[in-house]
Amino acid sequence: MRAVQWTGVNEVSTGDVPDPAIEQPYDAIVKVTASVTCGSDLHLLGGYIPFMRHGDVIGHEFLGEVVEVGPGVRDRRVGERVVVSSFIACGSCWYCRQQLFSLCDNGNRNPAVTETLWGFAPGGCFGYSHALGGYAGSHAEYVRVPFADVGAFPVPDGVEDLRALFASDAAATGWMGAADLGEVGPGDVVAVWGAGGVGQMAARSAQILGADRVVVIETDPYRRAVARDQLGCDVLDPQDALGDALLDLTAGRGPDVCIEAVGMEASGATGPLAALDKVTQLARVQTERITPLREAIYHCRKGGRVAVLGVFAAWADRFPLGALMNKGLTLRGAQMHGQKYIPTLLDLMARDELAPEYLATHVLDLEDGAEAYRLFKEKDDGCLRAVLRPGGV
Amino acid sequence: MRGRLLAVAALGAGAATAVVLRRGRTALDAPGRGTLAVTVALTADEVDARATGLDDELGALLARARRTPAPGGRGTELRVDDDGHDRAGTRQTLRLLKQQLETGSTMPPDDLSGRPPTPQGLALDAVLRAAGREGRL
Repeated sequence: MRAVQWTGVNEVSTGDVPDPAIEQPYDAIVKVTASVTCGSDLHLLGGYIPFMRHGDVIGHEFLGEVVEVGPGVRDRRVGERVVVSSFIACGSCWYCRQQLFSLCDNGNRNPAVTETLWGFAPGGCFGYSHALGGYAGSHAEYVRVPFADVGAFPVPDGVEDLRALFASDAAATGWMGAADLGEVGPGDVVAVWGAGGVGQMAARSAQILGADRVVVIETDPYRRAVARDQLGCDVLDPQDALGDALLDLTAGRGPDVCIEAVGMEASGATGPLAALDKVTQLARVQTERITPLREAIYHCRKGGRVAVLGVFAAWADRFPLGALMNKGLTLRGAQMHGQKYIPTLLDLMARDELAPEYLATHVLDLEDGAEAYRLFKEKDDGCLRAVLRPGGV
Repeated sequence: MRGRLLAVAALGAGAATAVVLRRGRTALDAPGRGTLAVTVALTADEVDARATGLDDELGALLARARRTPAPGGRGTELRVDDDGHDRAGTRQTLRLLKQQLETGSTMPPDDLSGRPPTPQGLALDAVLRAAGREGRL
């Protein structure tokens, strides 16, 4: 079959790979109909997460049709249109029973890597390096879905592909950040750093959860405009007196909830700290550039909540521990627990309360995988997300 | 040029990780460290019920394991004494035992055989060969 493969640092191409097969009784094979680029893929492409092997199939946010199921699969049926959680979870271990699916004990086939890096291994993820299980990704004609009864969800009739697609990861991550990590409720003022797919979904989730006001902070003027026009959010440029603007917006209190949705390659920041971050990241003295997280912690109100949704790999310097401790902040982060959120998200989508299809600014054929990532990485032509459709657009 | 720099840096990071894993093995495999242990999210009765479906290797390891109830209703703790032989192999089998008991299947480390030999890839291959047998378990 055809698939988009990582072939080296900043190199991807569409090539031939073996068809997936049922390997475990709880597997399903899904024929991919839509698979979307994600900002976290750029960390893989750029070599910042050095656990990729030449030929690895990338992609983790997808939707498709079940074409084969293993003998242990009970709920999924051949022919169903399903959206699949990007994180792979067994559904049986203690973490899955707590609905902390991305922390599954059994989803990661290479646990020693992340046990060594992080102390314990989280679950696995499609197409996201051998550190997260080495599973083949979804930018392909077909993908093997382990524990299909746990991670694949039928899409309601009437919810179009390009809407349901984002329940797989971006919408689930944003919902988690607002609902679970940020505990957003009525009356809250919520600030979201980053107007990519995850940031915009976090902002929309905060609105749905009853936030009084949502402000999106983004360096890119086009993305600011999209957040303003699509969601009706306030928008701010972080380089334009951000502190004054947030104090003005909240009458001196500061945001109740601050959500970081940028990750380890924050761009656009200026000043000595940002320059030092860039140099030390390139030299691998640190692995992250965390300007938005520093800002989130600094500007959050006393006793407020900070949620980290952007993907980070290892360690960051000049972390504002003093502000965190002395202001009594709660800092939480996670990879998303899609299996918990996807049913809620599909219901919101069916009722037109959550309509993320506008994120799919570019839809390309699977053969155009390299071009999709170029558009996405360079934010060319207003690209928010590039969707790949095997079999043609 | 930037790509080359990143490639070199990535290779360095990969190699460093391999070293870290190697160091981890040395420390973890020191004689007399004690036991290897996992917690399975099953009651003792559930473990017994599922033991009948285990293959010989997993069944033998379960028979060797000391069982105690985990606190907070978290299931059953399984502890295996470090007998001084093939600690890494025991660790891998213990991981598979937990997977089999909890999920009904095993998910051994992924296989990268057949990929083209690249500098970063060779370092990563070494790490992944140890990915089930090493770690902090």
